[in-house]
Amino acid sequence: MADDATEDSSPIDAVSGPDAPEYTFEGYEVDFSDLVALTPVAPETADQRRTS
Amino acid sequence: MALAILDLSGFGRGGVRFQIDTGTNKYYRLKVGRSIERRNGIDWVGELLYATKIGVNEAGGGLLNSSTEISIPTDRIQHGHAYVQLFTFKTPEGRSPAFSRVVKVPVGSGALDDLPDDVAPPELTMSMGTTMTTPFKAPRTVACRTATQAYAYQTSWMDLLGEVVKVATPVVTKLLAGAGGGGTASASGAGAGAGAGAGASSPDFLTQLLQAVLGGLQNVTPQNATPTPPSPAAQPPAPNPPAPSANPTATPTPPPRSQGQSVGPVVVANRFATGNGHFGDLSRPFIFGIDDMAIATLLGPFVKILPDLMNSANKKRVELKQAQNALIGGIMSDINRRLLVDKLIEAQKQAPAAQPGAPGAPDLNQLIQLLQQAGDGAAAQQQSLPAAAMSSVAFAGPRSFVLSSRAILSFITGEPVKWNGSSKLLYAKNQPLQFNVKFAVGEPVPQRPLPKALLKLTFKDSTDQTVWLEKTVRQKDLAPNAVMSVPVSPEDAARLPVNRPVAVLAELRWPAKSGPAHQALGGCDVVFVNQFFLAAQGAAVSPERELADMNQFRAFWNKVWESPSLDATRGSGDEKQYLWELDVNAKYTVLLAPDHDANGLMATKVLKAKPDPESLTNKVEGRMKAGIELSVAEVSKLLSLWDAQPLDAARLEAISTAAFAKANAGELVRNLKLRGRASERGLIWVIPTFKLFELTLGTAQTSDATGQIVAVSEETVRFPLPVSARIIGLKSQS
Repeated sequence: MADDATEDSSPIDAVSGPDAPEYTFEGYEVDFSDLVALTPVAPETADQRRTS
Repeated sequence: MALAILDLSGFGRGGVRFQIDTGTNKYYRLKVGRSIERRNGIDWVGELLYATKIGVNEAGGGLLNSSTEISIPTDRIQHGHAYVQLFTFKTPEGRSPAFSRVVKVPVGSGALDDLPDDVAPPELTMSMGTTMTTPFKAPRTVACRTATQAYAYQTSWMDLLGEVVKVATPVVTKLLAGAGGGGTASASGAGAGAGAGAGASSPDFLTQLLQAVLGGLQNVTPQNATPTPPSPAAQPPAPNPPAPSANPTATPTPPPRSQGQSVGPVVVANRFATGNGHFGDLSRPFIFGIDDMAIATLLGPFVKILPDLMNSANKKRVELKQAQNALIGGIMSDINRRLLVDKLIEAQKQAPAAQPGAPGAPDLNQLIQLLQQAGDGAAAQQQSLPAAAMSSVAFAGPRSFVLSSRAILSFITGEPVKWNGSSKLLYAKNQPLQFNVKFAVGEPVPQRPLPKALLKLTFKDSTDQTVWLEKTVRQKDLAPNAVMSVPVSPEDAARLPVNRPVAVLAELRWPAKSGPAHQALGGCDVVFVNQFFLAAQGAAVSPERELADMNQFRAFWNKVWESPSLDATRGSGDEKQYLWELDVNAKYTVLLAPDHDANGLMATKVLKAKPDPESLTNKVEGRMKAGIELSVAEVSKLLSLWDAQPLDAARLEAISTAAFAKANAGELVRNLKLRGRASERGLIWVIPTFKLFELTLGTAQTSDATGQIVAVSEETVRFPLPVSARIIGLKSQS
């Protein structure tokens, strides 16, 4: 892989919020469940999302 | 003991896979039906679709293992859900039969060939899921690519030429119309613009062009490099109505916007036209990174160069194809490029007054960087160009025309309107189209018209050079500054793409008294639209919604990793491993796919660090890449989460564009860690989450006689777009 993938994105606040849906699986236990914000590729969109 | 055990293993490109165990029976067959029928208290496959021939299980009768894996071709069960049952026999004639339970194959409406391996592990279910038929199509498997790989923008020569043309056209048109005193090229022959000094097209036209520019730059003295009051030659020209012409097609009504084909700031922000001396505006119009203030100081040399420059650039835009693009890049990539860079650096040293950042200072650094960047791109393109393609490319050809030094073509259009957040010339495809092209000729204007000429319009894709349409119109008695009209029939218009930029390039050729024919060119960038188009994208208007129901939103769930199987068949003795562990930096890319009606799950790629052969842990350490391509049509169906209906086809078409997809692509990087014992199974799923965004759709309110949209009405629609992703790590309960 040519591109770097070393810098973590931050999980966003809704991870443990009251509105977060519950993910449960039969026969499986959830080890981790993170909601991570997407970083827009187009810079003009980044500003738009940041303010929304 | 005779057995008939049937289990669904998974889906693959070869078909639906089953694990069967026939026990001591060696012969078997599968029956596929649409329903289950209960007879005598036993379930049987009903409404039979397909039955296999009697097959032989070579493992049948084995003492330790009598199971094997078989598959059914996907075309046998590709419509809705199917039910499969296994029958086993001791002999081919059907002695000692045994039968299995009926197994349901959960097949959606999509083609099974598109399903990835293990797309639906049957043992994994969500407790909160409901059994409902998904309205989404089965996802495709696509190659992994990051947003950078999908949208990395390599400046091509088409871009360079397009920018040169876009920026230079207003300047050149004004020079031709109002600064004729500078146009000292002698007119010879009957044809307008048939100057003896016309620059003939040559393979290294860019070299010549840049050298001409450099020659001009090297003449910059400290006195004339400083900003000077606009010269009369640079004043906005007086309105220049089309000259009377004998050509019946050359008498259109004066349109609201004439002269240059450029749109946006170049047209409205020309400080010479507005007299605007605000410092911040001075750096807007550039030609090859050279502020047009510098051009104003160099009007003498440039007035001879610019029509050539325009025609040369437009000629190359007409001729440019992908292979040629690479060849042009190749020419510039080696010695020529280095020489030009050296000359630029030299020119920079010789122009002491042109301090970086000073008004009117030509920013040669930009040009140097541009050349270096173009050279890198050309090298990459050359590597990927097949040798056969290279050998078949003929550059320009020996049958070159002489480019006019005083005449260019300019499109006469109305004002641009908003499209995808920027200003574009929009044309409604559902109306008769017409393009008006002005034959702009500089002073001294020849008195006699051209007896005959040939006007050709080429409609090319602005990005990939695809030629969508070519129209040729003969002209007779074409007067200088006359306007030629080229109608586009509905049949021709049907071949043009909607909602993507199209370069319309005009080429006029006329014979000279002697020698090769002459040529003038022009171009403009337009967008053709149907009923609706995306004018602008607004902000989010809803909280985030997660697609938590795996059964319902399976097309959005992507299993990016699964723990290795560390059972007895894998390793023995010292090589045996008892634990597995994942520790990777993962990049997950979410792209929009405007051209597909099903989502695409990207195949995960892992760059592993070297494993420790002594370790008892099977450790995956390194980097991981995965992602999903979200079909715009599939995302539209998510509107039901907000109690809304999916967009209709006309509105969906308006946002199914590459520009919209690029504006809404995103990615995340996250460190993922998961570890477990050999007896445990680990999985990692990634599911995008969405917010509702407001989009402004435009529709044509008024179109002029040429089909150009000059007034639009707007409506606001809401559409879900991905804003984040849920990453879930699972382990089987021990």
